[in-house]
Amino acid sequence: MSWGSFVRSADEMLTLILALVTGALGGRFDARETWQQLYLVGVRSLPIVIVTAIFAGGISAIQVSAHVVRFQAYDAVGWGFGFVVFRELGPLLIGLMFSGRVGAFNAAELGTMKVTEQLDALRVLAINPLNYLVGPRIVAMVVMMTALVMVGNVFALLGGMLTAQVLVDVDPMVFWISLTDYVRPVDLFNGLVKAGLFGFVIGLVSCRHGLAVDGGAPGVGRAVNQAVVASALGIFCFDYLVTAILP
Amino acid sequence: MSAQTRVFLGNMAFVIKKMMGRKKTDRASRLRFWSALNDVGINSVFFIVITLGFVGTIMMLHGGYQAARIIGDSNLVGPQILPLMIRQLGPTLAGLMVATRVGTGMAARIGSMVVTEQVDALRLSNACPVNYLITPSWHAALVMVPILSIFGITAAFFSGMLTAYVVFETAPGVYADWSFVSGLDAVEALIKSISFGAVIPLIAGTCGLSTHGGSAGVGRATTNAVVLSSLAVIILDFFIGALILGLR
Amino acid sequence: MIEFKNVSKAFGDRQILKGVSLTVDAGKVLFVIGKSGAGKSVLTKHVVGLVRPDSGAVLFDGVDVSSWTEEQFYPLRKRCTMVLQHSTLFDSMTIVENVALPIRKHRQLGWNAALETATSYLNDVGMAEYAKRMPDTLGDGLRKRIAIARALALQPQCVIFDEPTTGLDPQSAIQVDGLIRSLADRFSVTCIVVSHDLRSIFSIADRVVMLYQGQVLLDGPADVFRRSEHPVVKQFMSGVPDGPMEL
Repeated sequence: MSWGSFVRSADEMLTLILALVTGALGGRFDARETWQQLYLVGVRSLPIVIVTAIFAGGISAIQVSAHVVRFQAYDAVGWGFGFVVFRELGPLLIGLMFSGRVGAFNAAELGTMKVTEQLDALRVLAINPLNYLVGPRIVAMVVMMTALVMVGNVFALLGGMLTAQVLVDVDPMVFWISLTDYVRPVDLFNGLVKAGLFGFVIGLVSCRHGLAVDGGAPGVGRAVNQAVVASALGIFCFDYLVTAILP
Repeated sequence: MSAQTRVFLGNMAFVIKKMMGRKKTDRASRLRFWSALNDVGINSVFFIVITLGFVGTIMMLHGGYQAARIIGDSNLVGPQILPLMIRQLGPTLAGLMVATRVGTGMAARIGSMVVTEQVDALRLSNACPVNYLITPSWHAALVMVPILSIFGITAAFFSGMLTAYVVFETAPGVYADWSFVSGLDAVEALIKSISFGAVIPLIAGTCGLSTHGGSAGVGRATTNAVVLSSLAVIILDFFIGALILGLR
Repeated sequence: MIEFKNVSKAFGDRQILKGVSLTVDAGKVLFVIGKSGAGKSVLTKHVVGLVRPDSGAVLFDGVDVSSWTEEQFYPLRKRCTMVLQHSTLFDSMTIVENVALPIRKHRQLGWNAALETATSYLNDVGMAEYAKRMPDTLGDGLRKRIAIARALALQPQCVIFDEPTTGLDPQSAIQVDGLIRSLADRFSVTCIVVSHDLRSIFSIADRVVMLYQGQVLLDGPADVFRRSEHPVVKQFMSGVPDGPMEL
């Protein structure tokens, strides 16, 4: 990416954010569409989030167990696990999957609407696409991403406990006590802050790339590709910022 | 099983059969392989180094704060997170990033060719679309994902070292303590990254070939590619991790 | 009510319009004709702000709108809307929801009341039986009539039709023509029709404007057009490939 195109895309992004903030402050986001998006985003991503969470829990339990086995510190499994999953791996893996499921879908949908002139159709019906389409989608992604990480935490915990019991023979009760003894509410909260921010990044990036589609079906494919790549960069960047700012 | 799932599985079987089949290598196929190496490898290096660089810093910050809170000494964090970087986060996140960048790219390109009937044109000119469009990326990913993982691990290692030095005042020599890293960790990383390299192009290419229905179809195919290949990475990570844990 | 003053527009290095001046009479059916790529759609899109002129002015009720922002155009689009070439129904909504959308957004009606009103608009275009269908299950002729119903739901004073009969079978085309004529006759809606369908022109046009090489070549009632001795006009009418018309 050249410097000029970077400046241009940063400028576009700022214009988009500014227009959305104006729309949000004026209460101009379409309420019906927001409810519908909340439902659709939730339905679309719940199964994949649950599967991801169970495996993320399993993976974390395995990796923590590898340490624990070496140091014979079985009562630390729950702590290590809870910390890794709630604060880091849960939001991160669910965020990446959410970006693939919801973000990519969103970029494709808006891109298709752009190439088939449905966005222009909204404009000539005197409906602002930013307030009708984009705003509700971003709101829905922020809210649902936070909610899904909460649900995901529960399933990750189940996956982790099960894995720890089957593979390293850690009693679920021991696991649970060590988890509740050491993991603080702030760790959970930290993960949810990340989730909300990831939802915002995914929403903003996928909408921006969807709206910028040019050139038919190949353009839609390219936009989805760029959207998921840019979302992943955004996710890691915000992950770092939250970790550095909220210890 | 829905009709679409059946079509998808049928296509996947077809792709596997074609990828495994013997084919002659000529100048053109070598060129396709080199260009795929470039696409999968060179074009992803920057992306993977950046993302894994963030991961190294994030791990060090987490580890450092926790160690300072619980045992009051963050000097021991380096040796603890190095094995984790090597056997788990490095290969898995590199795999996820390849699924994200290369997987969607392949599905988008092949899907566009399907809906614009270029794939049919390939078939009519008696060229196998799998050998043309998927096999080169498959070979390239088998070679490149392990190499990209090494780049990613290196990036995470150095960004972690920098963070340890700047934030926790841990000397680089103390951070870079390899005593907990075993050969098994390297084996785990290698097995994981090769398996990721094998499944991502297979899934993404199949998604691309199964495209139908205009620009909305290309969007669906691309979305399916990133979701299914990321999921495959996570599931493989779990099972390979469990297998290696059994060997410890 | 609508006036173009010396409007010029280029896309890249292609000069599409070279100083077009034109006054549209209220309550009449005006046809803008010309070969493909003559700038017919581009000219009319200036009125609703989908395209902005490089130079010249577009006047709406005497006000120059050529430098308006997107935000300023929204109120204007409620009074003057456009039916885009490919009908551009929203694929995620049923037919009746498509028509109900502008009603809900602009008339402070609840969703159910909007659906009822939408059904009456569908009745007007003879499409009530398709209310619950999805747009992609319908053919082009039906989609066009629904798009017209959706535009009328804004209760506009002026409607621009971009190639309303192109690609339709003769029966559908005649029905669409009848709809346009009755809009002007019964509700004195100003209709601007972009077309190269000779049958439509001679059956419903009050006035015909032909664009050629970015300028107005001919302007007058359909009869003047029919009797014109201008070689380019004659070639356009006969459709023969050989002649003075630049392709």
